[in-house]
Amino acid sequence: MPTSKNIEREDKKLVLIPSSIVRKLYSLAAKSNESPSIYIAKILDESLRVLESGGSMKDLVDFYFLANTLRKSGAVILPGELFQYLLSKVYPDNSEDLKKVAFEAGQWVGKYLAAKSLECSAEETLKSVLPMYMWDVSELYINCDGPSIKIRCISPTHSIERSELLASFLEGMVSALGYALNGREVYRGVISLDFTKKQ
Amino acid sequence: MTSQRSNSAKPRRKYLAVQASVADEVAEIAKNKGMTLFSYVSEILKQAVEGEKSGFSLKEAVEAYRTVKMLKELNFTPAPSHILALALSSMGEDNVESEFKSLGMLCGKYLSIKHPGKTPEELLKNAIQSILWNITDLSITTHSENLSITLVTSIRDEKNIKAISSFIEGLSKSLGLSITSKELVAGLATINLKK
Repeated sequence: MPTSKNIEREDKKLVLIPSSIVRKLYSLAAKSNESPSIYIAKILDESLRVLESGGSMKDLVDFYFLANTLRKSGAVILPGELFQYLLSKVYPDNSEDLKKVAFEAGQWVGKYLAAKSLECSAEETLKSVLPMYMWDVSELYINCDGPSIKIRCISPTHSIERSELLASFLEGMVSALGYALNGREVYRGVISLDFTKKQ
Repeated sequence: MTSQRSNSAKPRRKYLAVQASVADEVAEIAKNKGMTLFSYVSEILKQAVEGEKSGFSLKEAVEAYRTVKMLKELNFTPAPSHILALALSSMGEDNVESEFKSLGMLCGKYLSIKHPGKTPEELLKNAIQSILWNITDLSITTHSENLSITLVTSIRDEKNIKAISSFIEGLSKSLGLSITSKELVAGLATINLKK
């Protein structure tokens, strides 16, 4: 991590930046009680760690939003295999309760997305956030066309229990955005959901 | 730190002094992406400024990025905490302990391979913060060869705290640390370890 000492010691190069960004950086550096050169060096240093691992600056912002949404929704993180194992134990006797819990969790995330989508529509946010949220799904299609939303999801490794709960989660999420379910097909590893905007 | 160049046709620009090593690395990445150093650095700084204005620091975003990347690589999946609680309630205690212990060992191995330069204490803290999302309070203190972990979780359930403790046990073992004592009550754990 850059510090004032090693920045002073190291050779420097001049890089051109739009002056509007420079002004904002100076103001943010002042708020952090850091010199602009240290502040900017830290930004570039942090960014390099991500860029070198193949990520982009957009990934940074998106992943931060995702991690924050998940944490706030009270999600836990489990290995996919363990999750399926646990589900296989409890699902047969608790399927309706579990679907309700998954629906409500999805509803919460949907409401959260709607509240956070001030600069774009909730549907646009859904399209950008859902693929990140469902990182363990191999294929995901989201089609928002006028008053309808179609979601197709394929994940051959998912058990039927996991597919059912994921479908309920998605139902909750999209219903929170003001859509009603009018088509639902769920098989092991395959989910097909159709929604229409409520009048 | 800056010098200015005026050009009426183009947006105003300033020169910023940047560490030569950082500037060279960014220039290399920009070149590989087919971008100019100016547009690439501008993009990075613009995103960073927007992030800071939205209330998060770039450091936090980098941590979140690393966490999600690790969880994806480990094939983890997010699930509502109520579902985990229900599942745990149907599992035997031995089963909970063995499943979560092996899960901890897997994470410890992954982290030590990914971050060979980090100490076991750093990896332990990183794993607990990245994976155990329901922890509301975490303290890790070190006294020479001994480590003490105290954590509070938002879920007040005995099996949940046993699962967490078993996860930490597996994690510690794979990082070369052994548990000397532990005290668990619903929602709270104190675990002492030795290097």
